[in-house]
Amino acid sequence: MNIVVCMKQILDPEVPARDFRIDAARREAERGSASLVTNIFCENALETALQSGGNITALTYGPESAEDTLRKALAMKANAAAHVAGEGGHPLHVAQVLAAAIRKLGPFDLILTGRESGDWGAGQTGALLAEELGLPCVSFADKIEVMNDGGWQMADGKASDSSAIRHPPSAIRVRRQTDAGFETVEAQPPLVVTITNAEHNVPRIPKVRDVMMAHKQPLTRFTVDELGVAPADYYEIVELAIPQKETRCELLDVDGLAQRIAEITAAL
Amino acid sequence: MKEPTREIYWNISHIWLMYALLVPAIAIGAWGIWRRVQRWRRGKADASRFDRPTLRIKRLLDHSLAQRRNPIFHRLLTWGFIVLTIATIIVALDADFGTAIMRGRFYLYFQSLTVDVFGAFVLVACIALAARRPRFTPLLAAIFVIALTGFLVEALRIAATHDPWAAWSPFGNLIAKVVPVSVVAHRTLWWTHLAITFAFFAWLPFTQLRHIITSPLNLYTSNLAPIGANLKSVDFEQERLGVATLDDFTWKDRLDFDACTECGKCTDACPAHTVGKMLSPRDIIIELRDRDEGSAAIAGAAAAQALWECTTCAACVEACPVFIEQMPKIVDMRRHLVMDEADFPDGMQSAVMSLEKRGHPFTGTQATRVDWTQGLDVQHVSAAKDADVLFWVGCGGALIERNQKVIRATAQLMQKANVKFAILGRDEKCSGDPARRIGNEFLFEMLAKDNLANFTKHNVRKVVTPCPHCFNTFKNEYPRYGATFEVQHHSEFLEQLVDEGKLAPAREDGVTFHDPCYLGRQNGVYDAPRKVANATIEMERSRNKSFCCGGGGGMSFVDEPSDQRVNQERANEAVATGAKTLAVSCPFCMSMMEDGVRGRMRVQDISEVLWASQQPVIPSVARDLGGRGAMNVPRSPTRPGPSLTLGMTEGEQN
Repeated sequence: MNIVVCMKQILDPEVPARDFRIDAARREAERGSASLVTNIFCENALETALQSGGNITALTYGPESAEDTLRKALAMKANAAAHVAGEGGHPLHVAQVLAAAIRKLGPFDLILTGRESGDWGAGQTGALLAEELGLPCVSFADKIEVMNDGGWQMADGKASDSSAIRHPPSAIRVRRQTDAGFETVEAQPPLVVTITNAEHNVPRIPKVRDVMMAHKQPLTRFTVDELGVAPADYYEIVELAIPQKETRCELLDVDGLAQRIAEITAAL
Repeated sequence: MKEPTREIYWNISHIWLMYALLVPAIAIGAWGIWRRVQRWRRGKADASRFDRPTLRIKRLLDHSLAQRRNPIFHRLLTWGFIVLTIATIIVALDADFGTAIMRGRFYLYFQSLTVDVFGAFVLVACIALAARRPRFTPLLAAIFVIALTGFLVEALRIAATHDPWAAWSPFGNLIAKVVPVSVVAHRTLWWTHLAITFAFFAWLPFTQLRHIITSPLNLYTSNLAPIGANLKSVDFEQERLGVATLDDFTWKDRLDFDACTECGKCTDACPAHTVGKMLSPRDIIIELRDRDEGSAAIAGAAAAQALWECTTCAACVEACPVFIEQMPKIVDMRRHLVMDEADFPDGMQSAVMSLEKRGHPFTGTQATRVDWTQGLDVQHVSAAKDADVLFWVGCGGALIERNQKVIRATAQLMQKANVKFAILGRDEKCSGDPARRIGNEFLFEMLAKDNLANFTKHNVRKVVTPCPHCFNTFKNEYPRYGATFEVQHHSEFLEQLVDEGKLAPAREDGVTFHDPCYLGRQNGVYDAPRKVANATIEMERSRNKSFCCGGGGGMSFVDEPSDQRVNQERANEAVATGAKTLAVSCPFCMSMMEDGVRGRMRVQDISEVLWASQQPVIPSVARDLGGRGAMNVPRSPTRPGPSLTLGMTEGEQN
């Protein structure tokens, strides 16, 4: 089974609120002293792939620094990694770039993305990618089972040397998180699945030996031009601001209390 | 009168039999020792164990002869053993090599009186030591029987020969008065004594009594640097990182195993063990000693769990009478679990991941590295080219809210003393101590190199830090990566400022001081923090025998079971002193102790105690309080004394 996991490097969402600045003129977040990290849902997606077993390619679209995300993925034992150099942008553009790269790298039975990224949180890339590739998409999944040789194989993290690698699976069963609980979907590969976090897909800590080896592994490199994707502005950010939190306290008189409460409620 | 001496082999014939027994005894004993030596030689290299011979000889004498870490009875036993062995050699010299040493005054003073007295020491020591141990161990019994038969042989000889010099052997003479005159009994006991002694020496290398040989070797090759410099570096080209199997230990580690006397002083001193956890440094050493070549060093989950209970406080290392280095071996084994297996506690995993991503171990903190500077005029190194001192704040100081007050107090003290200092602010990264102690040497090296590059960039020549962990790492571990800057813990630096008259000495009474392991035991700084905080009350365990707060070695990132908390044990000890203030000098100790004392006493950093004494004493308040310093005003909303500000800016109180 061939799996590609799309991963994004983002500004550390754990940067203290007091340290977070935006460049209002350029309408983007300032790097400041914040670190660059891999989006957590992308790591959950990689962990899910690793547990399912198979031949895993990590794919990222981003600046040079995004190579760190791929190195980390290789350290976690992804089999290969590919880097599309560029600056990202609108989710549709990102989906087009990723789709072009996936067509070059593929074929894949399973295409995983995080459910959304921790910086903009648009949550569109996965679904748009499926659309670009003309594949079905299952979103908000936290568990994947693979139909192999007539039986369902649970992702247990030990699947790396199982038959899952050798045969493309005949069906894939995906558990989705919904507002009410869980929903289980069966689908024919290939398909796109967006992964959310759960107790059982906390990204593993790589072994130091693997971290060291990861830095020696080759990467497949593309540019957006090579992939033949035209830059496109599908939307424009008009304004970017940090929400101001305001707390006010008003002491109400007993006289006309009901009236005032009605006013405040209406204002909120 | 004849020259004083005695007839060797009186009443004994067939001396050839003695030699016939001696040969196999020596052969078996030598074979036993040879086997151990071979085992050491299979260990990995360890270069730095033979430098500075004078110091090594001094340590050997201090701890093999003077035995500073052993009870008096063990010393008596050792001294008796040595004296009796020398006496036996003298007999052999006279008997086999025709020398005539055993005569005249030497015979009377040494061979009779001294030997007799030390023989008595051995008997007394055996009984006293047996009383302290759960049982009369076979080894102790053997020594006792050897000494006792020796005395009986002497007494029987004295009784039978009417020895004119008997008075020079007071104890033997005493026994001679109650034994019958019997040449047969003498002869029988003489051979018995000889047989047991020979058997004992043949048996010795196969028991922990081999420490008679291994301990002096271990003392001579022990670590001369401060304990804080004790961890080995890791060669990342090696097949395995850290210690996975017995093969990965060095020859010195293996000698350590064989030097163990099983006395248990390490385990008694271990904070984890004291609060009922599984960790026992002694059992780790014994188990490793008894394991076969090539077998796994960490056998089973239970063994691994014990490794994750170690606070790396090094109480075990400090307690060991023969200088076994238990704690570094625990870190060696952790390295394997962390770097080769990625198998270690969740809390430590989060800390390591946070260190990788953000350069500090505290996941989810909303504090920044410069929050504490609010309202203070503190400059970044790049803006303060004339700064003499880099004030290294540390993650625990900058990012834990309580410690921000400590950092402010220290900074304000330096400002008051007109010290030109600067900070790295957001450019600071963890010194790497937690990564190293958890076992991720790779991450430690990355952090160390990053920080060193920063120091070089800003031409840092002197670092002052309130964190003993950073202090230890900079002082003992960064030089390997080329560091040459001077480093002082804030206790040393503040002491200096007080001595120079730039700061008023602390006048607070009723202060007890908790030694941080990485400042005290591991680097030998004991007096400076006490002086800075005017700490005059000592806890039961203090200075080199201090008891860890429970926060070292990555343990502050792990949840401890509520009934097995090291900090609780230590906090109770601090409260028991009756002191008003518990002074600490480490950000981790601060968190652990505040959590432990739970309001039963005040916990302050030494810098806070000293800063409070920089405020003028307001006479009326001082009179109210019987002349004591303003700091003694109780924290009560009805009495807002001047002390409550503690020199902090507004909004920092409470």
